Amino acid sequence: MSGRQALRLLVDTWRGRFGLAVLGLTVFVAIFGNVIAPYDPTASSLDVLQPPSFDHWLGTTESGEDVFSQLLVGTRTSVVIGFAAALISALLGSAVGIASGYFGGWTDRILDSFENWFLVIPTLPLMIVLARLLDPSLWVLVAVIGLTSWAGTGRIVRAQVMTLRERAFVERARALGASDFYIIKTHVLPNTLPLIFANTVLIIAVAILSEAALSFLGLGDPSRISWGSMLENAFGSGAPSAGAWWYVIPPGLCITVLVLAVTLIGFLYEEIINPRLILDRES
Amino acid sequence: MRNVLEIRDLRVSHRGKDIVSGIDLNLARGESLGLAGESGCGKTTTALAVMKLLPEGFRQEGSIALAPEGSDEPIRIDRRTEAGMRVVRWRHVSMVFQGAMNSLDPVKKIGFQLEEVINLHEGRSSGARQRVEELLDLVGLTAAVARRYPHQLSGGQKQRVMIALALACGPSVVIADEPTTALDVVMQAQVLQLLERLREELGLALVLISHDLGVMAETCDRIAIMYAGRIVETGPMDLVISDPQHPYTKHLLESLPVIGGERGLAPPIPGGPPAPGDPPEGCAFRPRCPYSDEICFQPPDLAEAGPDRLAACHFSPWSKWPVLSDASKGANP
Repeated sequence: MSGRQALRLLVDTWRGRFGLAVLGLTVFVAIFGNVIAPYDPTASSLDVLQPPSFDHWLGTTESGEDVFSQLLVGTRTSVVIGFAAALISALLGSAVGIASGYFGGWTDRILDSFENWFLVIPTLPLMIVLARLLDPSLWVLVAVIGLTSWAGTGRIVRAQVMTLRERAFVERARALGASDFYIIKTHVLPNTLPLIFANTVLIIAVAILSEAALSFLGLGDPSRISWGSMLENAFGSGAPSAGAWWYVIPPGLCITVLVLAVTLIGFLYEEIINPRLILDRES
Repeated sequence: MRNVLEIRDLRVSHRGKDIVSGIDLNLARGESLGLAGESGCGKTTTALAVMKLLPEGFRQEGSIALAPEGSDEPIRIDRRTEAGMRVVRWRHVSMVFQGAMNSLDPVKKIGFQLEEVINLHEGRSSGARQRVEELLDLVGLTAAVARRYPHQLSGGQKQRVMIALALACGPSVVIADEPTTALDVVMQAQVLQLLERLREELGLALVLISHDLGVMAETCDRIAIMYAGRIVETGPMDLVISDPQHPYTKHLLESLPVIGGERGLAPPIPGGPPAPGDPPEGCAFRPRCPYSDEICFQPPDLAEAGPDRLAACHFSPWSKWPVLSDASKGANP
């Protein structure tokens, strides 16, 4: 598929347009959230748990903070954690996958059992344990989520590299005396990159959800507002039973919509690198 | 040494099973030799043994001597280490590998892949780019092909690129493994003409591996027929075709369709080649041979069967092939 067709797939389908629009808006808010927020998100007032009004578009929290401002400022944490954790996961997964698939033998056996271990242990409990052991801060969360989500990427990369290793162009380079580093850099990595990328986009969604889950459980960075920590505060203050829907629904909806957008783009990217997956081209 | 390549008693085995069991082959300078036989007869294995590129777990024995133009002493490929072979491969003997469709890196431009061979072999040199253009021109492609990706080329163009890859370092011997198999008939003819032209222009010695005797008849001076890891017949191309001296050769020739001949499929050779490591007693072709007799339980030697010809059959030279009744056609038990 040419670059032009790929672009058409992104721009001409509702999935592509929706994904790009949401992603663009989210990144914009993540960068400029502090500037455009109408209030200081941590400034309390006497207007406690007020429903949406002209002054407070999305109402106020139990301590009278502006929900809309919290939502804007909290975007950055969710986005940074989502992208940074996915990056760590991609680097770790592709390094282990390539080493395992390319060298085979004992290297593969050891790395593969390591990978299996990460695949079978339930991720959320492991994240909870790690986040509890280490002092919660933004970068600890990034590391914890990254370290627990790379195994799937590793497995896919390993399978692809194992087939590449047997291909004639790799054998040709080897017969000519090229080093392993050269072969991996020149032939293996460029042929695996699209796969790594498609998988990483999907992991961004997982990482955003994981951050929300950890923050919701009170294991997030207490000094930063995120969509997950907003939900935690809302539930902690009994907002749902008090009927304060404006406090609960916006952060939940933001998480859902962003994850949906990232997932749609991930699927589209998979279609771009594997044209056999194209389902429908209409709208 | 008059020959550019001499193979003596080459044996290749895998886990104790013989894949190639003792073959001798000579290749004269500028000659083209066809290596024919069904799948699984050891043709590709022989070629990989000459390149010393057999996969792990294979053992090769016997001498392989290469005498390129201008070298005082023949290069003993069998005695070379892996590091020593890297100097020899591509520079003196190179190979057009089977399956051109999958042999190129899909994410690299053609020019890069040709340059890569030159650079890896001779170290970074500024002349590589220039050489790529010459190579593409040599195989009948335009210089613009260097900027294309493999998926932008047709099957015939890819096969030409594969040949250019083999020629990158100016070898004296080129082994082409099924170079025309995946191509349509028109492309086949073009690629064969190209190989023929290169042989004349560059003075290459060519080993053409194929199961298609029709392809070989057009290009080769000499032919060696392999069966179950041995050479069963060898001689000048035209003589072998017009007057085969081994029943297997005769069967291969009869299985070729003749344009304008009787319609219908050519009769297949009954049965298949024996599994490696489990050869039948005596002549390996005996179970499939309609002419076999008591004596065929003794292994035949590759013996003279005419001027410049050898055949491994107890009955050769055949002066006249006995006419088979329909009942005796097909495999003997």
